[in-house]
Amino acid sequence: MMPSQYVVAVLVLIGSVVMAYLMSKTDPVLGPLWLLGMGAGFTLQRSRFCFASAFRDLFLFGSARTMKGILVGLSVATAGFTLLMFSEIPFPQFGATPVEAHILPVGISTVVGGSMFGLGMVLSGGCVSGSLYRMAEGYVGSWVSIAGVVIGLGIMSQTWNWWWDNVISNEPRIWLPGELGLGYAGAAALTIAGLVGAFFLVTWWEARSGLSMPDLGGEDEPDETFSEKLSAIWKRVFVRGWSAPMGGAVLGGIGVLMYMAHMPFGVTGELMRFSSLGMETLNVAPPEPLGLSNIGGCAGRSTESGLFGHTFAITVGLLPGAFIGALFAREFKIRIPKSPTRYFQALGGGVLMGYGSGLAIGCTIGAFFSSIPSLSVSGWLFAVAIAGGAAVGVQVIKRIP
Amino acid sequence: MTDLKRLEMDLRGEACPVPTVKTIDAIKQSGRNEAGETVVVQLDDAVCASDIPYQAGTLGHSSKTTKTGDSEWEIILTPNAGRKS
Repeated sequence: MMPSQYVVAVLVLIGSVVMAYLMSKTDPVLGPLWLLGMGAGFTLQRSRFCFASAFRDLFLFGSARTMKGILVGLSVATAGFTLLMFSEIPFPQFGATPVEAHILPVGISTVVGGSMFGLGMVLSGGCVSGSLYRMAEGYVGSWVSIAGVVIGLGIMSQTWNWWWDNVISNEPRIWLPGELGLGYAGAAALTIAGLVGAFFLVTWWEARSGLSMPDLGGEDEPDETFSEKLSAIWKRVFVRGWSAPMGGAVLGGIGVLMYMAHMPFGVTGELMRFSSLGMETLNVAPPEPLGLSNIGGCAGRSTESGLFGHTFAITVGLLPGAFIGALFAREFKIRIPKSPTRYFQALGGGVLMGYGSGLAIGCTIGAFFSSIPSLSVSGWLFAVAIAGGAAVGVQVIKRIP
Repeated sequence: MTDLKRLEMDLRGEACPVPTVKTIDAIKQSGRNEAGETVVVQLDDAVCASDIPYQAGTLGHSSKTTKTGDSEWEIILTPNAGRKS
């Protein structure tokens, strides 16, 4: 019906690969990171891997479908991260921590940041990574959300030093392998046990709500001849949506590869950089952030100079990846919300997410999906805080017409 | 087929989860009215298009989804036989 979407998809694909090649010339790691960013965007789009819906739907519909996919992804990433961290620091008990791992402060900042983020993502309809891939699918509301995130990160960086002086500088960064003689085996076992426990908890929650997900029966493709087999595979990968566990597993794997190439997956660092550049242009540059360079995580990256940094590659690379996914599935469409309320929701939710992710030094990707596999306690506390914020957000959106 | 009521909603442009929430509300509302009300939803959000049949099923409705264009669907939700309001 509209094969022009395919033509655009192929052109974007070629353009993005050329881009990867050109970027590799300035820095050999940039090309692979850009391609991994594209892969992540494609995966997010294909499996509709939406962290906002994972938390929100627990409270809104009693559904744990997406959350189970996230738990699968976290398990995959935990295995990979553990091996990578082991090769960097074989003896974790002496106080050294892996430089790039997302081991973030644990305390009030995590709880406040996570709650704001959870509330914001439910109001705006998508978390940061979710809004990024939906930008590429043509959701105009998501463009407004990301603008809100950039503004929120800006407000955060203007107030960061207050948080640092009064709160964050006193908060510990707890890395499980170095605690209580756990070592890698103990820390990974504890993390996996936590993930399995969470799986049972959300499954129980789903059963309690009475929602069942029977197989409604998709169309069965003929699968006998060579061309039919190829066509069936094409449809499974490019046309029909992937299951949440499939999306989670692939995204977890991509996260491990990103860490191998340089650093775990995160998207707020680059948006923070946009925000700082914007404020510099407006002559309201934020003060030099205290303490951040020692923490790492997402915000620690925002000081990278030059347009084509590593965070640029994995964050902006998401967009062509998700765009290509949407085009091949013929799911690209400019969707313009009719109600003015939606724009306020998107902007307000975005600002809350921006501020919260600045405070927690990462969003649902950096401070959660990359933090729990870093065997850091911060990811768990952030997740609980997000769930709390999302539960409040659900009560709010139920009352918005 | 005596005057079966149809409640039609055009939810195109609305993003997840709004179409699902509004559809559930409409089904619950229709249950309080006379039995046999059909809800027809038009939407362009792929996530909601795949979620709505499950949610409707939980509420005792069966659904029929028709693809009406690129990323556009119409879902017709009817109460299952035997369900009395």
